[in-house]
Amino acid sequence: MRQLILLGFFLVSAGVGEGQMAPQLVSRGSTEIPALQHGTAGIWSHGAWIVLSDRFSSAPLFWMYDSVGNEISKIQFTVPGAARINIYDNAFARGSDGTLAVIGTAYTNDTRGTTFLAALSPDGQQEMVVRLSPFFPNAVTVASDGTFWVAGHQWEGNKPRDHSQNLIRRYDKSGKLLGSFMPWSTINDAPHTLPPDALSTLAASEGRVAWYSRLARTHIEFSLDGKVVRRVETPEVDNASVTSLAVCEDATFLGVSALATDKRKASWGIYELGGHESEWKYMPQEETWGYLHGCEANRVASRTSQTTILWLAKTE
Amino acid sequence: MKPAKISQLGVLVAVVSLVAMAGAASFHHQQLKHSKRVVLVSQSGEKIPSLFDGLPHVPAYSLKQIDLMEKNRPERCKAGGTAKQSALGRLFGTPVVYASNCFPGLCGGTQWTLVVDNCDTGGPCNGQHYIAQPDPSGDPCTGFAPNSGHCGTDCACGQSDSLCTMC
Repeated sequence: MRQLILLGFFLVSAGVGEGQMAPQLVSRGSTEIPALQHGTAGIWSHGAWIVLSDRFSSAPLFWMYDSVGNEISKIQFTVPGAARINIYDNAFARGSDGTLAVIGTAYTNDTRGTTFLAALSPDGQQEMVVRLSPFFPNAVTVASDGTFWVAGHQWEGNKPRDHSQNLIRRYDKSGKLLGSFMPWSTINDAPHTLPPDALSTLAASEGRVAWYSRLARTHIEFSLDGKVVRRVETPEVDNASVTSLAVCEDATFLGVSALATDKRKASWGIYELGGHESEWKYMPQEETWGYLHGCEANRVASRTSQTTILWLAKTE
Repeated sequence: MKPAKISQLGVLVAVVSLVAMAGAASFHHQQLKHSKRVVLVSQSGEKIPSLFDGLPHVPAYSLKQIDLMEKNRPERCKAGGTAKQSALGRLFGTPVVYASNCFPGLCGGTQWTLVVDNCDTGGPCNGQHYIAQPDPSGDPCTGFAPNSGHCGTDCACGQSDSLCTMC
């Protein structure tokens, strides 16, 4: 019932009740992909489907597929001295030149460990790894100028949280920290809340970088020098959670999934934020679950099965 | 040449060929292994000899310990569970971390992160769910709680987790 009320609210706010056309996405083809298995993750980036496997191991593997699903290459990611590498969600991204950025944690077999940002060349033969500890990275993207953007936070032992720290850092291709911005205090510094960078997502398109904080319900877009160019709060999604972000040329999309429970059915939908708009429009989808994996120009790569990328685009 | 001699010569040629092939493969493997160029840097961009150079040894970073964290993940305490909440906890709803391997449903553990996982064991067990994953470098205030969601449309499919804070 609450979902129906919520859906009604979104339909009204989208102008449906005033005789306007409801926004919708239509299918623009599909790409067959190898089935995503338990423990794997995938992104669509610059014409390639990239899958991560063995994400909690000594040598995670990145598999690259072309736009029709054929395997192009694979890169085994290792770090000298590391016996365990952990790569979480929103933790790898690909630049327009094919460079793969990866964040995670790495441990030796003699009880030492650190967090890291790595950049892998397209053929995997060149690797640059930046030691990040005590900064814990939660999201990464590669901006259109080739810089690496990382969202995360740091702490010192049992000291109270430092809300003055910046949550987003920017690194050049050599791994040098260029600067940081977005103080935690400007997002959400209420006590007893999770850090806003946890479960957050970064995505890039030409000339801008978007950061979505699911926990702070905030979407922020930056110019490449770190200035905020748009900040939009997202509607509270009841009994559902925003799982994925896709930044296309003309709009930004959020994938929202409500898992099934013994009291409700599973469902999913997509929020759209137009290029210069300040309100999200909700588009419920027919399938029971779905996920957004990226964009190709104005098409969104969505997935509602383990083996197919379904391309969606706004109606003309 | 006698047949026996020819046979011996053949064996010798075969052995030499095998050794040469093994050597070439090993050389190629070594070459591949060493052809990868790795640059390790600090955040200021200065090169460091090892990513772990100068870092302290932390018992919690033991790989065995990490595996144990994952293996012995806390679960929600069952009704009539092993630990009772204190009077203060009952009054203020304060999350309590028990020494036993369960927590009373609000929030438990520290240094957990969440990953989306795919499930496809057939039929109604097809979709995604969220699994908490431990990492000793993770935020000390971040725990997790099993939520009511699950993977696919069958309630018996993979329980889903949520992050929560202990601070």
